Amino acid sequence: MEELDLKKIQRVADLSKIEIKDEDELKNLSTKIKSIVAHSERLNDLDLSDVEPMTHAIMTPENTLREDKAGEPLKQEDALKNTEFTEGGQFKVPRMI
Amino acid sequence: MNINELTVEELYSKIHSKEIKPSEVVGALFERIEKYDGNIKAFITLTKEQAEKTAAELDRLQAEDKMDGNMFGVPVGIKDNIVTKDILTTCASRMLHNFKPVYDATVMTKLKNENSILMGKLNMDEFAMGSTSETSYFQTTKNPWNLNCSPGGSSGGSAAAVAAGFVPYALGTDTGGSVRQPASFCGIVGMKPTYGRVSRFGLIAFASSLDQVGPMTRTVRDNAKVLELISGEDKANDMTSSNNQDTDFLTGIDKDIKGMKLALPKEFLGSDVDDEVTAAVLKAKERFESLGATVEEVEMPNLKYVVSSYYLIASSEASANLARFDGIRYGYRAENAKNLEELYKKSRGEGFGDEVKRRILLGTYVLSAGHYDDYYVKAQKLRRLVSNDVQRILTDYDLIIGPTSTTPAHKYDEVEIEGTKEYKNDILTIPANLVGVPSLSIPCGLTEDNRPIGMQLIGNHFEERKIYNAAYQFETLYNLHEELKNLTMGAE
Repeated sequence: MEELDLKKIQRVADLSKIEIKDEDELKNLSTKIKSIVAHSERLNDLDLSDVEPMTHAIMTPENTLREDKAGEPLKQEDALKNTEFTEGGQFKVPRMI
Repeated sequence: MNINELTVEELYSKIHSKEIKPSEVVGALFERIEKYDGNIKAFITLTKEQAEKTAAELDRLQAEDKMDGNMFGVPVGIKDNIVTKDILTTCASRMLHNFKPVYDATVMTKLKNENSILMGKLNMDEFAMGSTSETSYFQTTKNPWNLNCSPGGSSGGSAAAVAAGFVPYALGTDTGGSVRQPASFCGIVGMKPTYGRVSRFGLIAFASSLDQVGPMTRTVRDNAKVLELISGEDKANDMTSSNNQDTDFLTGIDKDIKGMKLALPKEFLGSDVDDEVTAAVLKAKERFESLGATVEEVEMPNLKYVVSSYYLIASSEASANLARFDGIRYGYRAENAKNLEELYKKSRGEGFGDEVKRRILLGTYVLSAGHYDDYYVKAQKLRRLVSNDVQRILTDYDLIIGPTSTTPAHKYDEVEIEGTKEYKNDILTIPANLVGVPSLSIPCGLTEDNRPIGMQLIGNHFEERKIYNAAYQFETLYNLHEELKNLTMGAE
């Protein structure tokens, strides 16, 4: 598998929308990530070709659907309660374009 | 009578018989918290005013003989990743340092309906990522048995609060061992229920296919009682809350366990396991045999791969779940962002701690194009193999037993930060999360220098009843209740 270098970790941080302060932080974060990835290489010891991936611990036999009935939505006032940046009943954000 | 020494059942019955008032219980416990929590640091938020108000109301109902609810007047502490309406819920993160939820988690609603009294919100590793309670943005919780030791994590505040006698019970959450390992380190009882047994509605998600809420108590019976009350199908958590009706865990809990077949995987006593832990578990094996159970050695060949599988799966799910923290609708918002992209990046960069960032980055990497099959799919295949291992054993045996953690509570300076050694401590708790089966940690010994050692009992899906039965019988031979009463916690 390819080498996981600092440039790649910076790229992943960009994809994750996380600002990394400086190279020290990047190095600090990458040490453990690299060691977990390296540790995971041991999965390659196993022949897993015929194994079905398990996505969930308990599979419900069929999809569960609720009745198509309108419920009580979150009130606008409640939805806006946890930020001071609102305007005209909406969330306020910096310019996008 | 020391109120802080009473179990859930004792408190409930003394309140019911009007021997004590709910306000006396709440008063005595806050007094204890104020005296000792400066050292222990279990609570992030105390809800004293509200608790006293509720207790006064329950006093009135008690006088009128209107004592409804199976937790009438019994105080509880809740891990700070379970949302509580209008009460600060931080996940021990700067990201949610100011977050007041607008609704209650289903487990909270259930406990309120039983008239339990919320005392406060408990410390944890940030977003439940960690196993020492050190990654909390706010404080490091100390182990009530030894203030130089970690209480474990991520539900370290919950475990410490119960062991310290601040609350008779608490709720924790367990994604890879976060209820059981701190229970083991603090000498209490902690259950990771079957996946789907307890609603996750209002639990701030870490890894959705693994997370479960579980009770932390001082006795096995208390634990069974709490799980009965928080179990059940929830329309708000439709897809993954189970409608399994077998939620009576107390009836028959005391029946004998003659002939019960227990399996002890030889890998559970491997070279990574501390000698004192191994000795305590072998002693526990003898105790089970003296109760009429048989204990046989079995094999769990894929155990050595579970840590890799777990970190890949949990981090992948976390990277998706934590995408919701954008700095806009709630939580930490960075100042001086010039545009939306910068607002996201700065808010997340400044709001999340190192361990959380690491796992988001790992998960994003694992799920990114070109790596998905190499890591994520392989981890899921390994999950299947571990599930097959566990199911094969549980076809022939009633329960699997073994240590909860490879070590007892470690001193703070002993935790290895570099590398994956710290992660490997989770190796014994992870299988139950990957497979979705219930697992209970109970005390089974003390080290020479008086640190608790825990043992876990793992059963098949929805067989919590069998686990509690075996654990209850074991507890008749060994428990730490008396020792818990004598903890001095750096004062007196």
